[in-house]
Amino acid sequence: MSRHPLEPALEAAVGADHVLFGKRALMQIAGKAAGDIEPPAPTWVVQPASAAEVADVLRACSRERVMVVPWGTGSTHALHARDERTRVVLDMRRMTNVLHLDETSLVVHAQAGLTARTLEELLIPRGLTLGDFPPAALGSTLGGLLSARGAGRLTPRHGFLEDACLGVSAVLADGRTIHTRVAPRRATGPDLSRVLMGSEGTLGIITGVVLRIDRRPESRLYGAHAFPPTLDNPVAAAIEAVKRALAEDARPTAMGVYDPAALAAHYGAEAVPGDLAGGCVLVTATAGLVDLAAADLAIIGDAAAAGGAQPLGPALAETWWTMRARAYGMGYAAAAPLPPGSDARRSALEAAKLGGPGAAGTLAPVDLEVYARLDDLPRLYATGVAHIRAQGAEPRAHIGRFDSAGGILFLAGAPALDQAAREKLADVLAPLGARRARATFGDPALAKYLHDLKRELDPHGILNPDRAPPRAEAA
Amino acid sequence: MIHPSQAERLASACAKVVGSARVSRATSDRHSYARDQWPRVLIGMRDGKGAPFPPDVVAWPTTTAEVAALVRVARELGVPVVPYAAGSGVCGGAAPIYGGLVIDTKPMDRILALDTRNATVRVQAGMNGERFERELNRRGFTLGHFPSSIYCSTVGGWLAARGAGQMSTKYGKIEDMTLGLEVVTGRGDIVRTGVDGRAAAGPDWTQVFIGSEGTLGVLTEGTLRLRRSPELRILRGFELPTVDAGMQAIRAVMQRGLRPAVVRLYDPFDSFLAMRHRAEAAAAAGDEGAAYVPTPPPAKGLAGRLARSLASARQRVQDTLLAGALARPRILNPVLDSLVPKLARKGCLLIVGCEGAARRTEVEARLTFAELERAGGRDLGEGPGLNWLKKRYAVSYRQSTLFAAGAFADTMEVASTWERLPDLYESVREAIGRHAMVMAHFSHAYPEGCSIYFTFVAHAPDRARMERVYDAIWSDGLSAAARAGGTISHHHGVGLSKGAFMAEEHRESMAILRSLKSVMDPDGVMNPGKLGLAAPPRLTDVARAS
Repeated sequence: MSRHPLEPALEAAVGADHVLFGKRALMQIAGKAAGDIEPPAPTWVVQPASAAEVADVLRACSRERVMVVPWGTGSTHALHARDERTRVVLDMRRMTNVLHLDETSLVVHAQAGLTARTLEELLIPRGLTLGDFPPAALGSTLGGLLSARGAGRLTPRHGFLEDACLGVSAVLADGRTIHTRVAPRRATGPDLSRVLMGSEGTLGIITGVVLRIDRRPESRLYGAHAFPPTLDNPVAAAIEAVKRALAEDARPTAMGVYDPAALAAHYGAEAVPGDLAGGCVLVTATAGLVDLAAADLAIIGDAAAAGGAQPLGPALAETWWTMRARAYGMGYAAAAPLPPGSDARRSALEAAKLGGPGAAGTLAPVDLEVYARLDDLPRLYATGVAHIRAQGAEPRAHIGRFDSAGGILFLAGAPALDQAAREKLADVLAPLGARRARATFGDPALAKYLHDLKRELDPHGILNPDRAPPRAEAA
Repeated sequence: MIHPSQAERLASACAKVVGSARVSRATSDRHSYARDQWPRVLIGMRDGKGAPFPPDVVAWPTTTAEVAALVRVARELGVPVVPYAAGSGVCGGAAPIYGGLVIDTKPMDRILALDTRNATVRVQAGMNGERFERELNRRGFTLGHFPSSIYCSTVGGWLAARGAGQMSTKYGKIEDMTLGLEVVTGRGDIVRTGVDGRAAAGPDWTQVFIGSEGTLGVLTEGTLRLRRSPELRILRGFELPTVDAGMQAIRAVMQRGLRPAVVRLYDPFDSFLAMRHRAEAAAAAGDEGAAYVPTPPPAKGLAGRLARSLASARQRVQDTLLAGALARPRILNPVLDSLVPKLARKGCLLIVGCEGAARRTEVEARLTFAELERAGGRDLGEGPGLNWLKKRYAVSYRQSTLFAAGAFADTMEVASTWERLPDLYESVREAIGRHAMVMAHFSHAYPEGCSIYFTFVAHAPDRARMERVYDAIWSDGLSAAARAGGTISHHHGVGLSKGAFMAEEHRESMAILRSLKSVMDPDGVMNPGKLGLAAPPRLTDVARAS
């Protein structure tokens, strides 16, 4: 069989060792997600190590009209290798260098294939951190995190992950390399990095990111409050407390509202305070300068008390915060801050990675997560839980990732809902204001503009065509 | 200018959309919209001639649908469209340099919905800044956006130019408080951004349209996040020994996670003027805060006279010696450098203020002030802060006397990360200082960096030479900013004055901007010649033609 004309060019770009072919290659990078079938069209996995190599690969693919699918940890989409198009899967995970760490400005420039968790492991011994973003998000590559917008990647203390991104480097379809330049803020036209962020590799391949980082906080404080079932609507009261605290300028690290079933499933039956059936718990973690963290905790406590909640003390929230981090291999991030470089810190880091008291735990699975406005969340919670129960499963739910506009509702059933039941649940919740991440492209009137922008930047349509907006929206 | 017959067709087509009472070809109207507050144009107008860029037709729509229809009319006729509101921009962004149709959004000035439960507001683009803030205050809210132009700027202008207010360190720039927009694109479509909030896929269109300066479409409405009116505001002045110490102090505050609303560090000459001005103001008002204000001895000589004419603008710059000195900035700046510290016997003034809900503000202010003292700051009490607050919108209105006296003043706001900031300060200051007297303050601080606001004053004997000096200042200053790794604009925008530097600012990324332009405005009718998207005409040629 003669070689495909693309293959020599790919090998010239990244070296023969980093060009893999066919089903085995896909299985190697994506495991079962790749599907155990031989792709119907020639498929390569190419592993570049630099933006220049990505540019060479894209130039070759552009010439041959071969589609290119960027691949990180596979956390947001699967590899659909079932159609007839010849494709190159661009495995970004060799691009893991930190290019510049500016400890004066607290800014890091890293290659896009580095996972946020690995970056965090590099920062921690220097007394630095990415920030208290939800640990569940940090297993993805930086490029993946910023290419695909995630509704829940925020913390009231640090804002959205996208907001921490001061610039990106990317390669366009024809191999042109661009770098959006770094400034804290600017007024020189549209924010060009925001065109690439969120576009899921359809307009360009993000090869590097510049992120704002932070110093490790000098304190972490915890609080928990029970909203008893005797209240009219305990979940609504808890959401109201969240809203009130944020309006009072509190900037906590995280807040979560849990029903008793979710608490028990995630943190064990012993985590559930007595007499809570039908009620819920608001758990809170704050961080930073001690007095500021204490003020934030007090503001949230007062807001909860005003809504009829009883204080529970810090233990439950500390369990929640710590287990949540450990479940994603980030026990060290949850640990009480220690002086940088100390032996204690190193051993905490080791323990978190290797096992022992800080080792990875597990959290109960979630069947569906939806984003909604704060005002819509109580009704969505009630409807979701009732629907799951009506399907014959025992429901559990928690709400978190709050900002002043909205939050994320996490729903699950025991036994777990199957795919069809999840879709049905999403359909039930959608008319009440629930939105699944990346399910829409916003105003349908903008879809044609996105199509035309794609045509401008990627005239042959080679970049991740699977994630281009659906034709129906464009029509 | 377009052909008169074309202008006639444009006017009658516009009249069909908005009614003949809301369309004008009158000379007085055309000349009212022929410029913004770009100092280069003001220099040119001093000899009594009209503003250089009159549009052919002005229209005053009252609805978004009318705006869309007007854009479609202009598109069909192939004539330029320039969105215009209060015209307070200082970069020539709203100047109709090719004539055509000006769409004035000021009649669209209503609050459409104030959601007090969720603290958001939907407001039309033509809403005046000061009136908007007053309305919000009445309902117990604030936007937290206080540009010095607040009396003569609009929400739409803030959004179009990516503006910042004086309290941006807490509340953010306008792009940080915007949840969504309504836009009429250059194709005449009405689109909404921010729909489905953070759950939507694709580019963040809100951040694409903010800062587009009318080149992609007309911004007709914004949905903005509000804050409750502050329960408490605590202001202070500090004195830092040097600019460098001041920068380090601000960096320490921001990187500790503290978010004061105001942080302003004045370099020695700016501090001298600020302190002196405030001392005078406080004395005149019998303000008890004056006790805290350092009062330098009566200034003598050149620097003192400069100070008086700049800071209070009471004295016209007519003195030939003074004019001569301004014309020799290479000599003047070093003289000031050596004189000012001696005259003032002080270091750099830093104004800092915290505000918001009472409990957190008290803690934040205490920690912020402690951090500043740790960094070497000397507490001057609340006087300097209160005086700043009282006078904070006044400075822009004091420049006209300088212009009337034959000099000119302008400002350049650049920004960078902290690592590059000292170099940015020195480089830009040196570059401007070749041509003008220059001073600076640092404001709009972030954990990762800060903006620097340069003010410069220069003089030349005639218009042509003055324009040459003006252009040289901008050319050298912005080149220096780019070389030092800074951005060429933090919040004034690009317009005409920085268009030529956009390629240096964005380099290869200009490809994305050009793609956005050709998608949103395929016929190139929206505010042509701006934002560095196309080479503008030689301004002198345009001015003479008019």
